[in-house]
Amino acid sequence: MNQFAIAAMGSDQPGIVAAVGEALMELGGNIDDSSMTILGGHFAMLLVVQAEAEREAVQEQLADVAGRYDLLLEVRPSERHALGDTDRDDYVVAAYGPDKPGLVSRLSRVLADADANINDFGSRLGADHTFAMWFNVSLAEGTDVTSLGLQLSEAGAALDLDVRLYRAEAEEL
Amino acid sequence: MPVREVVRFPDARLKTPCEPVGDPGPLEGELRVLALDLLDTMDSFPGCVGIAAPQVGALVRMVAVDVTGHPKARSSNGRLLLVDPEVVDSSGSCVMREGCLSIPDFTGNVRRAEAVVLRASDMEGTELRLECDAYEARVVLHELDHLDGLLFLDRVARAADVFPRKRYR
Repeated sequence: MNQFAIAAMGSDQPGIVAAVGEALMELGGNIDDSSMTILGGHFAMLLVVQAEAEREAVQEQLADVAGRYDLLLEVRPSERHALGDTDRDDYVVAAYGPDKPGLVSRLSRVLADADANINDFGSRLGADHTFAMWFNVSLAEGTDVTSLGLQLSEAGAALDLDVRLYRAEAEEL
Repeated sequence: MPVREVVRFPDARLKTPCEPVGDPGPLEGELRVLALDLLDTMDSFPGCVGIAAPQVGALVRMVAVDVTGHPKARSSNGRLLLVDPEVVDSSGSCVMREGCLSIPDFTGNVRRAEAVVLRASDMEGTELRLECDAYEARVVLHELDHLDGLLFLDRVARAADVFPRKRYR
């Protein structure tokens, strides 16, 4: 069995997920994991798929759907990853302030230099131009959390951004 | 007493920890005026169930809370003006969607304790011990966060838990 990462992007309209799903099913493919989002009318989806077929055959199988919905569609071979990376501690970086260019790049650079991996990232822009963003990150082993928090605060302060680093709370069930 | 203007983010006062009132006696002078104004300001917004002093630009540990008659309320300690409030015990945990007068553009899902025991003084300096749960506990914790310079956006875990609010001008 081969594993693939399939990325699709295009203008949003009804039927895209169904068409991609049906094309994969005809090939005997199985969707293991998926994520989809719509931003500003743009549709984007990432799938992890298991199939017996070779990469070229999967790409070929999806070409018709891509043409019909005018999608940018890419199939890549994918390594099998263990689910979850439990060696690293999960933290949230919450930051918000008046919107301006450079907010995301500044903070993500601080995180990258600390070898922190961003697992999830999203933002919201308010009508009053408050830009709010959250990074969910895994910190590298031995990271000095206090020091990283200070670096993020200082980087943010230069851009009028209020930044907090805190441990992601596990759901207690 | 006059209704005061509500401070909105990014006003730095919302991110500044507040000073305790400290004096156990009845509130006097400006502090008493502030307490009465807080209650009036809370009342001036339809459906408003709480407000903290920094939201009107006063950096002292004082909040007004009133969940009386609110459909989501279970406990209700009535119309409260709390001076130097402190959480002495908390239990449980639940997620609820919150908004804030000082961040009018967003609402967000926030996890907080389900029940709290509070110690505070009222306007006359009388010491209070209050048990709050469900909606009242949530309102109290949201307002107490303001006294530490924390907004509900600081308690959100990811962008997907925040929702832009439609503005009607």
